[in-house]
Amino acid sequence: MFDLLKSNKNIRLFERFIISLFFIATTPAYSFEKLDTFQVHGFASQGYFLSSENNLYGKSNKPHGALGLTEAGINMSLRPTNNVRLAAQGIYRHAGAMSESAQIDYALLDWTFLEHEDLRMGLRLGRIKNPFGFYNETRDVAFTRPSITLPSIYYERSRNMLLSADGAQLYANNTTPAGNFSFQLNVGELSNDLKELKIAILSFDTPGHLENKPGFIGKLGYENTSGSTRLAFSYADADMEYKPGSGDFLDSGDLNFKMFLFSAQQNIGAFTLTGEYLRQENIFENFGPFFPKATPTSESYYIQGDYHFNNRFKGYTRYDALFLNKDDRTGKHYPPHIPRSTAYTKDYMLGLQWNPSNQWMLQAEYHRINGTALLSFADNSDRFAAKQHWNVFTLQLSYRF
Amino acid sequence: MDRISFFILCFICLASPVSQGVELVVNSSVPLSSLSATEARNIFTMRTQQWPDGQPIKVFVLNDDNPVHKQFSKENLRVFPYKLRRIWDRNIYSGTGDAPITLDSEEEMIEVISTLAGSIGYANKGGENVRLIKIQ
Repeated sequence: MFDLLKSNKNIRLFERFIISLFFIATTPAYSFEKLDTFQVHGFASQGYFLSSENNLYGKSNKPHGALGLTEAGINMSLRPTNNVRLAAQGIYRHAGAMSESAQIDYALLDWTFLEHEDLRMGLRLGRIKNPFGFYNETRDVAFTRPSITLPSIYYERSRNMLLSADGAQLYANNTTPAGNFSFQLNVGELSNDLKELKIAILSFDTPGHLENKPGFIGKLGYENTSGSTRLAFSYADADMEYKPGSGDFLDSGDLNFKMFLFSAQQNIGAFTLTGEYLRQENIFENFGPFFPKATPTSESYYIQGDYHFNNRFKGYTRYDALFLNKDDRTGKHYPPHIPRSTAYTKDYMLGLQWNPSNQWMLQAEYHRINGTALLSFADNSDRFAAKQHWNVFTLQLSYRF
Repeated sequence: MDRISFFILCFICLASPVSQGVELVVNSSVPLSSLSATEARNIFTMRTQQWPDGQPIKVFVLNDDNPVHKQFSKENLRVFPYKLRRIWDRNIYSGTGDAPITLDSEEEMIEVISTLAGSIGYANKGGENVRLIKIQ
């Protein structure tokens, strides 16, 4: 049930990290001046989903809906010297029938090797969050999301592929009179547990499983001097291998994903306009005669407007679209055993957010959705029972410290 | 209201100290006399982490609801307080940076900054061992 309990490697790494943090923090040689860099923060949020037909995060189509999304985390950081920083976060996450896990979200050593006037460069080693678009690095933290659930670019299925990398990150930050430029490049082993992704690609469950190979994810960012305009370009290149199970009719296949993500945000007074566009080129090959080579290109994008009535209250609206194959947006050419509506999702959303204090946040959203591409197989076992047109009402209460 | 008491009232209003707005407060060890709004914003968003002489910058703020914080954020940094909070959240929950330390009052702010080398905050008034610096 808990990944953490299964993975001794994770526990040992995390324990060692905590023990060394504790050791550093309690060594008398470190005076108040060092200790005051020690920070602990955490968050917890609970989502409630009520949907008309299809299930989203648990049995949300039942009369009383479902408390289908629970997220909680705690992190700490410390600067033992001027240019070294240690940070780690553990999270618990329960997302419908898809997953329940407690994991090390990140655990890293951050070494700033160059700090020269307006230029800063460094290296992060360990488990590092993947810089991808505006939201991937903090995708499980409600307070950093623009809405209760993230738009389809960040969809649940590819979550495990994008979440974090065990490896290294090179980063740079340059402040110029024209604004701030940033660069991050992650190289390493991406996370696993790709069952939902496997079923989505093959369109049926098989005895085999997907395995990650080392990949890289990078992001270039720009922010103007007043901070009112933010632009980013992210790129990810991931390879996977399909390992056949016993009695499998598929051969060991090769998968490649190339993702190009463009992000833009503009603030005009209390109004914020945000848009992101993802083009994902997929190659699936060498699976044998039962699954011929396929090279679909997926496309997804959204545009969201936020209006801050004041420091505590915000209203927002979004149009979000996802097409799994941009050359077959309606699923017209899908084989008969796959419902056409799984080819796309178009989601119109209205939402309200209230922050009664720094610590608390309450959100409410209403979605009208056309298409079922985002539905998880774990929560919706019968795909032909899924309805093309459906809607969702959702609430989320969040706390942080 | 008769004319004399009106003038007296005006005189009292003019003579009483006018609110001068919030200013940056730094520990006397900080080797600067002024900052641009962009430089100040880079410090309070935790992007700039060292002073020109290499000592680490330690940033202190008041609670998001504090009127002094709101005024400083909007007028001095020209950023909405909720936007600062979002930047700090991105830092701490992604593991790539820190958030400033939140203090309860201006008095505490002055006290902490007067004792801690490299520290910066803001307040309506000064004190011993701290310097007020202008945003230009």
